[in-house]
Amino acid sequence: MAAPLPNRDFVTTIRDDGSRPFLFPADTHGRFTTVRRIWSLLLIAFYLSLPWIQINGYPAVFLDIAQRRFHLFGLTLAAQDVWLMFFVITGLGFSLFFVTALFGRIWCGWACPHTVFLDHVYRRIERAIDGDAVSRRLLDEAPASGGKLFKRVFKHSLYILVSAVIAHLFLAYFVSLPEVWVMVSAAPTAHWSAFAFMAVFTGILYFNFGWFREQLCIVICPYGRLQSALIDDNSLVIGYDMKRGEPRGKVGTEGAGACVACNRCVQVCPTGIDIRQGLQLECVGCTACIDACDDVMTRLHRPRGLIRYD
Amino acid sequence: MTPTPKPPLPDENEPLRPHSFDGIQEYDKRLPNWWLMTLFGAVVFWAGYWFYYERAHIGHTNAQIVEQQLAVIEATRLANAPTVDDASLWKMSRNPVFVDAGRASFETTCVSCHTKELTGAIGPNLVDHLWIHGGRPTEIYTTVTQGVLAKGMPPWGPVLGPKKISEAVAYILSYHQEGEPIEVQAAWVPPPPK
Amino acid sequence: MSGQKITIEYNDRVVRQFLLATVIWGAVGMLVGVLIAAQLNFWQLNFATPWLTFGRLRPLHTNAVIFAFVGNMMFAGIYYSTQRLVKARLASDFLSSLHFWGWQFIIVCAAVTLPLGLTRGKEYAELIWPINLMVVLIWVVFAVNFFWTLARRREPALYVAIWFYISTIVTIAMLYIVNHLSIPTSLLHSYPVFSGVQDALVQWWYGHNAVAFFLTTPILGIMYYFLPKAAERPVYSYRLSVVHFWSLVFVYIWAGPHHLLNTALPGWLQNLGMTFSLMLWAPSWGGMLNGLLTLRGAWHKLRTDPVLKFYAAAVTFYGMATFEGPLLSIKSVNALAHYTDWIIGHVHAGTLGWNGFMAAGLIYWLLPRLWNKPLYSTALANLHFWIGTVGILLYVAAMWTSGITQGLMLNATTEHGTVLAYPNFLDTLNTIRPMMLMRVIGGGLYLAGWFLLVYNFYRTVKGAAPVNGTIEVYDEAPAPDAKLSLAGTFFSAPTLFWFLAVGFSSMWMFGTDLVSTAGIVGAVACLIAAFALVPSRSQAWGGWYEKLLLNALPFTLLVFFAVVAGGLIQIIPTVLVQKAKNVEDRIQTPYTPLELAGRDIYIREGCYLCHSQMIRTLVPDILRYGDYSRLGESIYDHPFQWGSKRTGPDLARVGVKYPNVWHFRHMENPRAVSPGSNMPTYPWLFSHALDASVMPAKIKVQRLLGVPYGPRTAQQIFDSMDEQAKGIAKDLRTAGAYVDSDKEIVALISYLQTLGKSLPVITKSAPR
Repeated sequence: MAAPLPNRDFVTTIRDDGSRPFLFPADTHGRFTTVRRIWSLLLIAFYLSLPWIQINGYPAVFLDIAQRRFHLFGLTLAAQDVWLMFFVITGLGFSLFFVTALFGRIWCGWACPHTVFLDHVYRRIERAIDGDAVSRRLLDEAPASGGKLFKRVFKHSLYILVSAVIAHLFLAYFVSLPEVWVMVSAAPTAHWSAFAFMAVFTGILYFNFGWFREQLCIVICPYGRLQSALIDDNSLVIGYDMKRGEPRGKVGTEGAGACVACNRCVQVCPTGIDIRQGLQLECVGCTACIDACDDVMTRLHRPRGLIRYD
Repeated sequence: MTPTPKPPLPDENEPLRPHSFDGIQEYDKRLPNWWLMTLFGAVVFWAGYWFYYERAHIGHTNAQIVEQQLAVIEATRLANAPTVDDASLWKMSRNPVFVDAGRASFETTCVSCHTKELTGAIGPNLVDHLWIHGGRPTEIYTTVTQGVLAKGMPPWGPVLGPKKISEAVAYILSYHQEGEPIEVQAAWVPPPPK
Repeated sequence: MSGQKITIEYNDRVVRQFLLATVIWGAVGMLVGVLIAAQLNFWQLNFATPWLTFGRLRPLHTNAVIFAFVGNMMFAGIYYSTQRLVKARLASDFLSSLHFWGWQFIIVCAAVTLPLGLTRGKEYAELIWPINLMVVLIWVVFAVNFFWTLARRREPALYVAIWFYISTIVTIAMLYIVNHLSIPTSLLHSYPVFSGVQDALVQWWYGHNAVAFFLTTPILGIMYYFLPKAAERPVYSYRLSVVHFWSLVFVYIWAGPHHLLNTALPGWLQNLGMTFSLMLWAPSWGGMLNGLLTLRGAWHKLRTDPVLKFYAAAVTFYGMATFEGPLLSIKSVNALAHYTDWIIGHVHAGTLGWNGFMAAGLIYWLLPRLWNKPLYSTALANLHFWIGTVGILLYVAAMWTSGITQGLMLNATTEHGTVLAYPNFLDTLNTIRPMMLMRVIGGGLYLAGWFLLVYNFYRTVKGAAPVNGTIEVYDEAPAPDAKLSLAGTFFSAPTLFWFLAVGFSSMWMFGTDLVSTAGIVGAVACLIAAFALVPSRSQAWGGWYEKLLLNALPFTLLVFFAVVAGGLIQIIPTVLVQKAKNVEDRIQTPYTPLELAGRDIYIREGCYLCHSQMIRTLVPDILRYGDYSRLGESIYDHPFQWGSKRTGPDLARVGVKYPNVWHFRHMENPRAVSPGSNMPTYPWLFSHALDASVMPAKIKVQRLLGVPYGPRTAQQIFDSMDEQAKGIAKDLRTAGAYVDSDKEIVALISYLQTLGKSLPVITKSAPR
């Protein structure tokens, strides 16, 4: 069952019986999609390469909990130096506050590992196997069949595989790659706690990226909400130009605004909102609606930017 | 800035509860089922945990666990116990690596009573020839390890461990010469406060 | 509609009074907080003055921010919203005034007695017994005023905010009375009736639920009124209100023992505390989500409206603190975090973020309405929000890192895990000193934000005429057909299922074989029956609940039964257990009169606020402080002194570890024997003579409470004290320290030197 059209009285991704309608956001193409993809791939490369890069004989980031030695980009800290984490935490906090006040929830849409891995790894896998939004929805609604089963097993196996890779590289932040390799080569019983950690972490990643997705941003994550409170009228947020867009109407309708009510912006939204209803709790600033609307406006030979950063 | 959006349209599909309290109305929306599952999950966890520890007694009690761990530590200590004898302690006391390490321990742990100069205040002088509990290196080692509770010397063995204690003893011995006289003192009488 | 149309005027005068008191006491409480945080960094700020030392001001800070700041704020919010939610003026202007002035008088009494060192020695329950009686009296005044107003309501149904207020009134009364049971020895001093583990359990049942029912439930009620008002949006979910209210009030009570994990508290209580804390996550987040999703429809207003900014941030911090709480209740996490600054950080995420920001939102929203004048400056309110948020960030980040750093250092071992890596406690303290300074800066920023509010308040109110809200109502009698009898309340499916489920589960948990089996069968049958009936009966049960909402008394009774269950099941067995059979092989040696007098000095100076007396069943604790503490070793301690924070080392076994003169020099100037210590100096202990005359009365009360003191005359007591004190003074003299034997320091040394003294018990204690 498809999600109902969003409005501001309820959360699109919670049905009346409490179940969760799964969203099938449509593809986007355009400036932001391209830039964001390149940027995200760079970020992923950065996250994943840290354990491989050696600085001063240690990986760039190596939090050696067993020895209580923390190696950060050539710097080595011991347990009595952990308090320096304060500057990392407050530094990140201040940056987040500052950036948010200026540019809104740009962290959520552009840099948060949740968004980065979800949009540019897991959704890509889904797209490659299940097809575009319409195919995905039809497949979801289709009765069980051999083909569906194959696709499902294939997709979820890939999800689990990717989750396991990420989990292993994440573990490498804590036990160094050669050590991870030693553990992986041995039987699970040899490194029982590491194996359990890995299994649980893989499971969490798989659950989060395979199913939970936008629920994390809507319900769990505190930073998104705090960021919303830090935004004011002068912050840069994604919005719909109501003056230009309203009243909505088909091309050629007398007195109609620029919005042709194609609902493309709703179809592409990964959190299930209608951006035309203004700034909302769910919006992570992913820019999908900008590209979607610009695409439509370009085709109609109308100026872009009906939905834009403003 | 973005234009202000329209006020939300009341949706007739969204039934408000009939009552209004001082103008406050209520929807009756459901929470995500997964949220409810976390509550049920926690209840199930409680039942399982209780069964494991309190009904079936499979899990060990805190005391049992810590006693086991202490036994392992005891065994490790015994297996790694260094041989402490007068000759090796004297030898350490002439080695700057041990003496410097010993000074570090001494200055954080011992100076509050024996002073930085080792001349004694709350606790006795350690540089003269008078010893209350014996002045041979192994005797000093034993005194530091086991303490003399009756006189307020804490047992440092469990806190510092044999390595740091031998170093500290080596540091004390570095103020002494092998073969110098050792006189027995009955009790320490601190110098009058300055 | 029948009856005549009349206009009623709300009693907003008392709301204004409470609001003003909130602003003032908030500033005072936070100011003391910043001062004591600074004292931890600079011991000189204790000024060698008794009434300015950390140990006496820390209770002042906690009591002021909890009972004076949040207390006044909650009374303001409750009185404002309740009148409007039930469409009735507060029942009695006299009781309202008495409530206000009585509460302020209590606060002033507390602000005088705590710095004087008059304390019961139990955290957040320090106030002496005459003030306890006043608190109970004023709480009853509050309850009568509230329920009387409910009885006169023109709005038949009770709104969710009212449910939370009811739970607050009922539960706080229960917690406060039980934890303050004590027997006076004089006008200003008393001993709690419970001791050792029993006192510990009762204390944290109270302490944890003071957080729950003083800092959480009333504020949730306030959220349910003021947040939808400010956002001008309907509440997201009534159904969620029902689920999270009942699960919250039922589950919260059980979680108290998580303050005593890995201690000598019996394992079954620790297990209950931990598992129920984990259960608490979902109900807590239910409240957060209902607030948040109510705000959702007005999310764009967050950009401009400081009130909504405060509410959104407050709800977020509530969510973070209630996520962190269950996390810290996991035994292994607790092993690292307990007694460290992490716990302080956790508490302040809740108090600064949730309570402080809810208070700010409430005040900024109410000011224009109570004085009929726009807020003086929205920009200043926004600035307050920013400074406050940055202050919280600095404070909480500093406390996290400080706690984790110190926890890691204290637990670190070396040489194959046989020796502590940092044997000197002061090494760990001095490592986190920069963090303790950052915390002062964070707290100072938060306080600065509060001063902006004070100024905004002053400028708004200055020259403005107070206005009272009015409403036109039909003067009609409530509909009579909605009465729910007591039988109808208790013999209804939801209530019966609840009673049976709790009863059967308890049978399973505690019963012997047959009873236990019957319990599990019954509980499962209950569960299956309830779930099977939901589809067909949920409509009827919903109807029953709506009927219940029309009946305040049955509702209140059900709330009482929900909150009383956890306490009964945890406390009754612990209190009734025969002490001699529950001592784990060791029994405390009763204090001599001099030691008891020294102990009361220890309590007076608030030593327990920085020093624990509880060696946990954890290897690093045992390596550092000696064998783990047994139940029997504090069995005669009225009150218990297990502590909750280790700014200094544990003292459970400090007795005879050092010579008398060490303690003498240490109390005179801690840095003389412990370089780098941040402990205050206590010069007055060396000049004040011990008041021995109170000891016969104290010993009499101790005997009454079951401490095995033989019968002895006052003279015998004085002689025994004199003899022991002379012995200590003589020993000090030989060590070069000169003091008269009648000085307080001698008694304190005698107490410190007896810590850890116990006798082995031959009879093996039976398993529970």
